[in-house]
Amino acid sequence: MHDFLAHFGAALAGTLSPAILPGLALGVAGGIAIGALPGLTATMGVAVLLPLTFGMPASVGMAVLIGVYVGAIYGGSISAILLKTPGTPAAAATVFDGHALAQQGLAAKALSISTVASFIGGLLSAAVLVTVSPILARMALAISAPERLMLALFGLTVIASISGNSLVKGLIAGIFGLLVSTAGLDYVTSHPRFTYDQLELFNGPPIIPVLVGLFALSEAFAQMEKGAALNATDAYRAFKRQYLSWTEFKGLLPVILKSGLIGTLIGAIPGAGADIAAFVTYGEAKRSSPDREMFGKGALSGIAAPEAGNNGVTGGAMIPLLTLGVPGDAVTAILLGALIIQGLQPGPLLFSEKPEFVHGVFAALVVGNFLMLAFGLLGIKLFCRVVELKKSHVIPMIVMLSVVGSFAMNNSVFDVWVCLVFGVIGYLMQKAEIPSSPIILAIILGPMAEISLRQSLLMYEGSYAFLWTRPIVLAFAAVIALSLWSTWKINRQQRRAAKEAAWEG
Amino acid sequence: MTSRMKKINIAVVAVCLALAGYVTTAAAAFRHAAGDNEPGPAFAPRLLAAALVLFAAVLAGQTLFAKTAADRPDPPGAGRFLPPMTGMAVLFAYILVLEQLGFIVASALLAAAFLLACGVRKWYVLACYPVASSLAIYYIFRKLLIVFLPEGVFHF
Repeated sequence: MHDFLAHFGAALAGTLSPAILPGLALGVAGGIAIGALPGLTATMGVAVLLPLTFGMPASVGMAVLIGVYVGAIYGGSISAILLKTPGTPAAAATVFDGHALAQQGLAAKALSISTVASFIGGLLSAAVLVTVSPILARMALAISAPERLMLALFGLTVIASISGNSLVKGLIAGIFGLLVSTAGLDYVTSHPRFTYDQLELFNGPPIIPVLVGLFALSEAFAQMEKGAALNATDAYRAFKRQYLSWTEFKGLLPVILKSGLIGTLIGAIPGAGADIAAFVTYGEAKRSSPDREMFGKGALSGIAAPEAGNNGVTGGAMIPLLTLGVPGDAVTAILLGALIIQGLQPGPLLFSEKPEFVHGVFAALVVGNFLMLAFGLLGIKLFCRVVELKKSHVIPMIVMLSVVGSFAMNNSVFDVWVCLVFGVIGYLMQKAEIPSSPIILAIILGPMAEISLRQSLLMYEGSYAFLWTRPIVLAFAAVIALSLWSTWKINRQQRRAAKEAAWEG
Repeated sequence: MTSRMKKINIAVVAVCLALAGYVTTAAAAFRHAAGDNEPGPAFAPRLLAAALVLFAAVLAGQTLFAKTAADRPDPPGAGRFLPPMTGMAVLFAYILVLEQLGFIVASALLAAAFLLACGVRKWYVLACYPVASSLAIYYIFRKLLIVFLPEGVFHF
């Protein structure tokens, strides 16, 4: 323990030195900017900046990339809250309550909640990484295809929570999303499904254009209907300079801590990333909240939970990377490449051979989260300028960013077509009062569910015995049953209360 | 449920049934070559098509048996379909010419068209905003983030 503290203290001092701190700070600031731009993900940010780190010492290069990772996951929430356009898929769940709060003139409060929750979630995951990473890495290794299937199914139960007024319409949207997710080469046989000879569809539907189309473009079309009202003063523009209060923070802390821990655990599971963590923590926060009817209308927990959850993934995803040399998600896969390029081989030996480097990574994650908090809180006033602009001036900018964001990931005009198609679908769904968020959830979780089911069946030679012979699967099944039962009970109570209110009225 | 929402729901049911029919037909052509230990590429689409039919039937039932309420008055501005339709058409045309005209020119035209569709009539806004915004976005994405945006016939 003494050795660990000495190493960590030295690494912390090194990270705060002029050799590393400016690079880390630039990485965090750049990451926030990249995350806030629709279409540019944390993965893309780390990939773009990777070549710049080749000439740097390993500790500095890694600090820059960790800064981008931490900043980008948080930055996605800024455009999600202000423009209803999640900068990254990880911020999709933040849209529901973040944008609803911004529309009430409380954008500063929404942004401050997102910043503080992201900071605590990220710091918590760094603490878990520092203290119990070897134990968690062994646990994560025990998670195989059947457990991943149950995790995906658990995530899909969130559809029941985000379906709005009609559960059936939410389920229809979810099934549509799952159908969209089957497009591409089949995972087992490589048979093309719903690809229409388009090479761009062979890897599955491009998630960023779908996300941008459903959330940003459809909203731009819906706003255009208002015509003259676009220039009038409305609640959205009645901006109030209210931030997260101490009392509100104390009330949110349990949700933030729980979501941060869930995010860290999900991050440690290879194949499950920040987007999944955000939806799972949002659903869990809604299920366990006494004010669940406020969710979707600007619930503070509805912002805090997904933000703590998705930033919790940053430390969690590092656990299998550093302890086993297995990347937990796409970003850590790039970080693995960066380590190998620097002549380092992640895995158990890294801890004994290069303890100073490992502790440097821990320290960069901790300091990176503090920098993110500082930049986030200092930037709120600047970010909020967006809500003071006329919507008629914001809409063309949203459309241009939607186009460029869709194009950017693959440099493909095909992706812009996908964005337009899903923008029109999202607009029509708004007219039919069908929620669009289950589509995104289903597209994110669908491939994981299908691959895991088919891998499980192959592992068990066609038998479904994995459903009742594996303890973690049984535990997940119990959690899913409990979650569905509690959602059903909550919905029944809400319907009853609404009926009683109608009778009294 | 309002009569307008009932009509919309029936349209949603029709779309769901058509989509389920198409998916089931298309899935029949998916080749299953991985042996008997796994359900094959058609399994998930077929299962989802069946679920879509089931929930479409539930929605149809809910719609047909619900009491019809009077239509709510439209919120201000609602029902003006021309501006969003114009927006969709402009974006359609934009994607068609994006690679030929290049990002800066096409996006400046796109921004100007959307400003007009949003009711902006001030000439200096229509002149400056599209050019400045498309140049700024091009600079950030092309020069700083190394995203290869189409240059078209004009090279910058």
